[in-house]
Amino acid sequence: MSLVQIESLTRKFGNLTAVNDVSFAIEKGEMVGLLGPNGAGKSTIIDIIVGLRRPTSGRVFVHGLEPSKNGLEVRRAIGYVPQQAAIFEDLTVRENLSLAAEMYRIPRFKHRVVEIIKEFELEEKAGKLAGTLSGGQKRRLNFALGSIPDSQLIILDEPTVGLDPSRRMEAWGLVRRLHEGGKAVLLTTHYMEEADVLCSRILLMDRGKIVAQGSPQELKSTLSDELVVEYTFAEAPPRELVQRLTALPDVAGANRNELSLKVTLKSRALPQVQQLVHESKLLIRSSSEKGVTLNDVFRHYTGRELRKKGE
Amino acid sequence: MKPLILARYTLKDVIRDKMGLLFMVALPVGFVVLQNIGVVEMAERAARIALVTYFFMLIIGCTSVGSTVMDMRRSGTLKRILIMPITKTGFLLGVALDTFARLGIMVGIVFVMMFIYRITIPGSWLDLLIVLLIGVLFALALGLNFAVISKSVFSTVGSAIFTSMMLFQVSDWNRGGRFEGTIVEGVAGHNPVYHLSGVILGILEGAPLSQFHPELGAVFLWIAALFLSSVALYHWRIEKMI
Repeated sequence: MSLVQIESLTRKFGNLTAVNDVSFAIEKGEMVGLLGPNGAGKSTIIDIIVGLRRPTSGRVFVHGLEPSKNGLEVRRAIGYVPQQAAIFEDLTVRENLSLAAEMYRIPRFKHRVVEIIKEFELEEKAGKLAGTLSGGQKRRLNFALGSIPDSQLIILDEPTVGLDPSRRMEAWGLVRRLHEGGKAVLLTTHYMEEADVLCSRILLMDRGKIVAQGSPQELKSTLSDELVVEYTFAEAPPRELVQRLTALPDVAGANRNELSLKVTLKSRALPQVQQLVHESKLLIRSSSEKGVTLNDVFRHYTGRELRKKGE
Repeated sequence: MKPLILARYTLKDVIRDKMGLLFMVALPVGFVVLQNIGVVEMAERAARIALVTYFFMLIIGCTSVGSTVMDMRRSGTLKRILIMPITKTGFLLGVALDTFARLGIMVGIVFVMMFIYRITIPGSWLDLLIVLLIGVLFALALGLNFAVISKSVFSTVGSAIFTSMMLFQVSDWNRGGRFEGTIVEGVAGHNPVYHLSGVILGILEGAPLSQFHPELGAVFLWIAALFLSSVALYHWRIEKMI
C-alpha cells in the first residue's frame, strides 16, 4: 500500500480550478517534489492531504485512510513543516516542542523532546524563548517541530522560500535530515535547483495539472538531445530574428530578454541557429551552451518559465 | 485532554508577554482602587464593582478570545495546530479555556481587592463569583463566533466591543425601566446580559443563586447555542482561515 494515493483529484474555488484531475502516489522512503510556479496548486494539494480542505472530486488516501473522513488519524501520521517558522514566540524552544509532542500523544514525550533538541542542535537554546532565536535557529525549530511525531510521511510546504542561497543550502541539509531513516518526504517548491538536488521524483505542476513526472534525470532526458544556447548582444536582438529561429524545425523555443537571446534547440540545429545569428549581424558580447535544466523541461511542457524574474 | 494541553501552553505564551501580564493585574487592581476613592455607600460600591467587573469581563472576554485566534493566524501557529491531531471543537475549547483562565485570574484579583477594602455584600461571595464566571463563559462563546468570522484583529475587536456594548445597553441594568413599553423591552427579555445583570443585582441584594435557575438556564442555553454556532461557523470557515 502506498503511503499517499491520490486519484483524479480536482479542487475548484468558484470558477477557478486550482487542482485539475491530479493522480499520483508516494511510496515509503521516497522524496517527492511538487515543482511548479506560484498558483500551480501545490499548497492546495497539501491542504487536502492533511484534511484542511475537501476535494471537489477525486479521492485521497494517506495510509489507506481518507483525510476528509479520518482527519485525526491522518494528521497523527504526518509531520508538517510550513513555509513560515510557525512557532509560539513567547514559549521556550523546549516548550514549543513539548506542546507538539503532547498533542501527538507521544509516549515519554520529554525524552523525545530532548532527542529532537539534540538532533537539531538546539541544546544551547532549549531554555530560551523562541522569539529570541536567530532566523536560522527558528528555521531549525520549525523543522524540529515537523519531525516530533516521528511519522513515516513528512510534508514540507515551500520550506526555503525567500531564503538567500547560503541559507537555502542550510535548509536543504535539514530536509535531508528529515528524510533520513527511510521516511517519505513530500516537498513543494518553485525552485528547480532545489527539486533537482533533493528529490528522487518530481511532479511538474502548472495551472493545477501535473504536466510531467519522473526522476530529475528522466525529466531532463525527455529533452536529452536539446541544447540551450544563450547569446548576449551589444544591442537588443530584433523580433524578426526570434521569429526566424522559432520557424526552424528543430528549435523548441527562442526567448529574448533585453540584450540576451536564449534558444532551446535540438543539437543538430545548432549550425542553422549559428548561421541565422551570424546573418543578423548583431555584435555578440558572449555566448554559452548548456544542457537541459528542469526549467527547460517546464518550459518545454508549458511554454512558460518556472519562475518570473524576482520571484 | 488536548484542549487542556493547548490552553496550558497558550496561557504561558500570553502570560510571558509583559504588557499582557501588566494589563491582567493592573486593570482589576486599578479599577477596585478607583471605586473606593471618596465617600460611597457600601451597597453602591459593591454593586458598581460587581457590575462594572462583569461589563469589563464581557468586553475583554469577547475581544481577547478573538484576538488570540487572529494572532495565531498571523503567526502561522493556527495552521500548525490545525495540522496536529486535535478536533476543531477541541481547538476552540482550548482557546476558550486559555481565555477563561486569564479572565478567571482577573476576577480573582478583583475579589482579593474587595477583601482588602473590606467590602461586604448581603449575598454570598461564592454565588457572585460563580455568576461572574458564567458571564465570562457567555463572553467567550460570543467572542469565538467573532474570531471565526472576522478577517482581522480590527474587525474582531470592533464587532466584539460593539455587540457587548449593545447587549449591555439593552440589558437596561442601570436605566430604571427606560425601555418599558418599547420594543427593546421585549428584546431585553431574551438578552442573556439582561439575565446575568439581574442575577448579579439579586445576589448583591442578598438573594441566593438557587433563586435564579430560570435566568441561569436561559444563559446556559445561549452559551451552548453560541458555542455550537462557533463550531459550525468554524467548519464552514476553516478554509478561509488557513
